[in-house]
Amino acid sequence: MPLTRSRSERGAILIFTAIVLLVLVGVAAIAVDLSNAWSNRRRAQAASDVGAVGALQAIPRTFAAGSPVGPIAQDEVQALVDSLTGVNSPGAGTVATISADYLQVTLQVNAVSRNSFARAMGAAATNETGADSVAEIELPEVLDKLVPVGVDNPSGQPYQCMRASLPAYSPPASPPDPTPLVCTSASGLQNRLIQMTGLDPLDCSTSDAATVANIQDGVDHMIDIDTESVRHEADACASGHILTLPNQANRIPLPAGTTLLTQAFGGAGSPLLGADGLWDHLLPAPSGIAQCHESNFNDPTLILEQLSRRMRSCLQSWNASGSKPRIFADSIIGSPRFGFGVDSDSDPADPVIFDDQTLVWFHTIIYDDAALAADPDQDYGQFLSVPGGVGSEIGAVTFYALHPGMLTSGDEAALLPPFGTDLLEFYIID
Amino acid sequence: MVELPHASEEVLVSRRRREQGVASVEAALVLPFLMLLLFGIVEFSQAYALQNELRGVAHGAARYAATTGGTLNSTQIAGFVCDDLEASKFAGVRVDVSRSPQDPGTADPVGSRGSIGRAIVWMELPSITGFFDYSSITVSHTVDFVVEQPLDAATTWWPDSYGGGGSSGGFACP
Repeated sequence: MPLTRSRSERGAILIFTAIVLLVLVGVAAIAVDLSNAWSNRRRAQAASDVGAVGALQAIPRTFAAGSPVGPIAQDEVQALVDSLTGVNSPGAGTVATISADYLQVTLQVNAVSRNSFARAMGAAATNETGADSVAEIELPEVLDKLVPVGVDNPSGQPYQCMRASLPAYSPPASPPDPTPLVCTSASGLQNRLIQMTGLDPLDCSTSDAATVANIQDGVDHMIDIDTESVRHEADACASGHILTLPNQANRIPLPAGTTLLTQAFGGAGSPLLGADGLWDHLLPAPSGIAQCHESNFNDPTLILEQLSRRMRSCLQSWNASGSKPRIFADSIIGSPRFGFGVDSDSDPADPVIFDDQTLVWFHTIIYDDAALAADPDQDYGQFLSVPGGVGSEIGAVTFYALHPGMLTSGDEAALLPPFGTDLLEFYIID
Repeated sequence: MVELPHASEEVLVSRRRREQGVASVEAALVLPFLMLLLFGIVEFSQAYALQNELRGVAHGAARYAATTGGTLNSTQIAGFVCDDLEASKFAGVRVDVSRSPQDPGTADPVGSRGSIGRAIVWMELPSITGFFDYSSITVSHTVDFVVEQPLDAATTWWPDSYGGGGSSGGFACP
């Protein structure tokens, strides 16, 4: 019947629209909230990526595989990722997990999204979306054996002199000249310098700038420590001129029994301490010689990882430029400054001299293994100009934790743990 | 007793005539809301999409800055970031890389390894349908990051503050 049909169709569009609108709004609500949640998840993912990579760098590192870094790491890492995530994904919770070997950080970022619209449709009040990232540091194979040569002082306590642990010292039987020269530095410290056969004659007068520079260059001369200088070292320690490693309980646990007498080059009030409170460069750059050094090491986490990177970088640029830096001085702020240089004489057991008043506690050589094997008596300095290329080895630095034993024997075998002999190799990586 | 009007031909015709155009009127009433909904969806989607894109750009800038820390200054970093952007899509976008307020503020200059930098990317929200004026609304994304790159001869550091969020400040992509 026409009448009935007509009457029944009255307002059909309004009803239809009302129903459709309800569905549309409902779908829109879900779409908005879901999009929001997805967006938050992506944000959380991005935040966890940034956080994990950042956290990895906050971990103080020893490069001793499996060696614990200490409880400080977890808190620091968590604090760091929290602060980063606070900006990158506000409101999200984070859980940072450090792997047992401290080479991996897993970061989980949990974002909570409010269901502003879909809630009216009966959805839950919030959506939880999470994302996680894993960042991992890959160590060169050799680095896991490296003994740290300088660490910061996490507790803020003054560095401890370790003179009491110095064992009795026997003068070296070799090398060459058994008659040492005694050089007295400006600060009154005495070092005994032994002239090397076949190298430049040594004049240890510290008033002679050229000689001082010569000694500082660490090229021609060898410094040795006899019983007297051990005594002087003890005096220097007492007077704050020589610092040793701080208590390392928090960051760099050393193998049991290790006597790691990392010596600082200077100390509170030392002329080596710059006006800015940072250590000055140990070594003035000899003119015409490229120098690898870094003074911006006031990051407490900046330990050997960073140092080795910088060394490598410097060596790379050096390698590329064709010039040879013969000095590589470095420091860690708030910790004993240390340095090392290219030992260009022929004996791998020769320490390098850094300063006329500094006892050398690191034995450093940079050499090419293959070339060394071929001719042990070569001038190692030459090997540093090995042709570059990805993967090629450009040198190695050996750090020896000082123990008087090494001075006695001059034998690397005597430096095996517990005295800590470790090798850091450099490769051209890009 | 009221007698219901008999459904004569006349009444039917007149009623049919009266109801002519009702659909159009109803449609006219409903259409604005539907269109508003539709345009709203379009505009919001676009804003979301832009926000997402800016996040990508900001993270890209952060990544770039983190791995070139100290060797490039803020302007250089922003310049490289801008180079990778599609100019038509990101008209008026501004990029800034600076010291994050979260940086511990040690003596370390920002840009050195371990310091915390902040990358901000922002631009005014454009209206894709042309019906809205968002000139006062800014879409932005901020990323804090830890600088990774070791420094060898770093001489350029990032500024302590940024101009994020406004029509000035930062680096305007060409």
